[in-house]
Amino acid sequence: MKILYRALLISFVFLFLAGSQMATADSGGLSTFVAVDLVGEAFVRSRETSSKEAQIRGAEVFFAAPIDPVFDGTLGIAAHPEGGVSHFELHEATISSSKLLPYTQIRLGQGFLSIGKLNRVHQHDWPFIEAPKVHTSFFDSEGVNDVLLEGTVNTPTELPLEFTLGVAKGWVYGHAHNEGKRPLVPTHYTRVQSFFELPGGGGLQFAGNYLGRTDSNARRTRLMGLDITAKWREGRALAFFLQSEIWLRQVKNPGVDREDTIGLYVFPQFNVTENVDFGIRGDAYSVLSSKDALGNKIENASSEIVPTVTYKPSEFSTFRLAYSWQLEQRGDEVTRVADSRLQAQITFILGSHPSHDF
Amino acid sequence: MKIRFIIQIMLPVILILISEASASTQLSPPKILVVTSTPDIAWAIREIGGDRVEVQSLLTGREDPHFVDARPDYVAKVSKADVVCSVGLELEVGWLPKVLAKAARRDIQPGGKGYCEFGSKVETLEKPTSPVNRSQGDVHPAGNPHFWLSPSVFAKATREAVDALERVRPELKGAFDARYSEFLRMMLGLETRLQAKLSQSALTGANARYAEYHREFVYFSKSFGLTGVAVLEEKPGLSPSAARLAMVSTQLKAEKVSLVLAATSAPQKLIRKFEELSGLKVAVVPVSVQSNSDFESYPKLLERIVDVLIEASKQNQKRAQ
Repeated sequence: MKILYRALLISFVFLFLAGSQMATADSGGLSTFVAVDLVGEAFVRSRETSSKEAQIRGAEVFFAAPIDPVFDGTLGIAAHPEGGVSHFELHEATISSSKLLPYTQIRLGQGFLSIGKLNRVHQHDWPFIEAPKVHTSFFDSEGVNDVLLEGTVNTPTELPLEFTLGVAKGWVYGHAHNEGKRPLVPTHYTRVQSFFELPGGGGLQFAGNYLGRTDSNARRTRLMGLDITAKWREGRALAFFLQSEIWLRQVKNPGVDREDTIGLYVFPQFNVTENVDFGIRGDAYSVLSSKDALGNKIENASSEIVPTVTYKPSEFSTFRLAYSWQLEQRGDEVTRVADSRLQAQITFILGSHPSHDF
Repeated sequence: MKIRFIIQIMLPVILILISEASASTQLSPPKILVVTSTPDIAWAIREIGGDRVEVQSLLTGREDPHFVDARPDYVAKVSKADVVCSVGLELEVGWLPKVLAKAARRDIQPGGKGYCEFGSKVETLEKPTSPVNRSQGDVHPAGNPHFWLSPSVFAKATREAVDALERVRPELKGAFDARYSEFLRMMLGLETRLQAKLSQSALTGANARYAEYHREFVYFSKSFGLTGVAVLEEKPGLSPSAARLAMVSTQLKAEKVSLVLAATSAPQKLIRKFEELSGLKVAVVPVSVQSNSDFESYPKLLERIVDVLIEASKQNQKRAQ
């Protein structure tokens, strides 16, 4: 409960301070929001001995405003409970511009890398509760966040094309509470995105991604992935939504064979009634290069099925319930249910949330 | 011989093509490319700009402009535009700022010479007099943004587009001003003609009272002498509960109101539910110009709305008798 109180207290203090500035902030165009993400789960069957109690997974305070006629600034601070202690992290502190160069957005500072789909979306805006294994293993439970310099170009062509090129400090990768070490090759990444209009007012966005990094121990990591997002709207409702990513990771340690791992997830979601959606996520994950002592390939796969019901009375609050079955297979061992658990989530947003990407 | 023949035949053709191309370049300067959020303002700008403009609307008129995604094809269209015009008054706040930022063109972002918001020229209705918050629903702090269904208000707001076109192409100021004067006359004439049509119908006096699903007919009703008495939504932008629908249904029966309006983008399941509860036929009307339809132009759209209202009112009055 201490964590809950501290996270909420900090959030509301920030909001109060921002609110007290509103009289002057309006003229400066300051937008402020607090996003709170509560998650609870109960293990019905698990290899773990205890289930997680309901807790605030994250409370995020976000500020955004134009700095001057050319530059915009953002500041985002998030609190997360870890091992009974709440950690405060700088999620975003960026200066950006969409007015410096034609067709080009430039972003400099600390933030989530603009790569893939989930990594570009804040956790409270995900369409499901927990990240799939491919994301937690290849990126992080939340996402890869670093000091970065990034440029995104949208070409003025008939076919929508968006190119992103970025480089990040890369001293750490994923979640860390230390400084890390200077990498031999910093994290670098690119994303190429396009879009097709679909019949009936729908649209399909798809993108190819690449990320590379060589750490201080000469461990070289390469990630290659595809992400797609499709939406059909009917009036106010999102009648159908599809989100999917597939990633291949290659890790090469000095003097050791390369490890190849593949993972994917597919999440179709249907609108049931005005405010209720039903989606089902299917995940798959396998280490392709897994071998036994004799060098024979070991078949292995992890998969998860997660049916999810979402009640969204407005765009500022979400109530979500999900049940997940995790399945494991290794060698000739028969596939079995390893874990199954029930999860619940409540998210709410106070203040002015900026508009989202597609 | 062959080469000589080719030169004799082809050279004049090439010269003609070059001279044609240069003549066309000299005679017709490039068109102003205008991108609008909704097809209604696209129609108005075509009327003002004529063959000097090429206008594209991001929305087709079938969507609810409050609930739209910032699609990448919108970014591609906007990135080529000389002028971008929106309804404004926060109608497109959920998606247009993202599109403009991604298009990354200084001239078409707020404050740029090619940016225009029709709403900035409108004396809005229902502007909150006290601070708003989300417990009140999706309230627009600058006032109701659905002004384009009033010809006179819409015509006045179109001045904002004229100003933007003149900023981008100052040498055409006289031409745009002249066409805007014609446009104003045409729109006021349209309003007068439809007022007359409504006053000749049964939609007058007590019969001119109506209910609506969402507060999007307030400017229309002010122009055409209708009186709004109820809204199906309890709070703007939020779906009404069954209890709310039942309550409004009872109210309309008690007050003998027979006209109920809803846009085609309103949730049809809730509209059907209300019809079952009230026994009234809801007049579901388009509220935007739509290409490839019977209402490709604004006058045709308003004619359609007026005709549907008159017919719905007649049917409901017959049913009541």
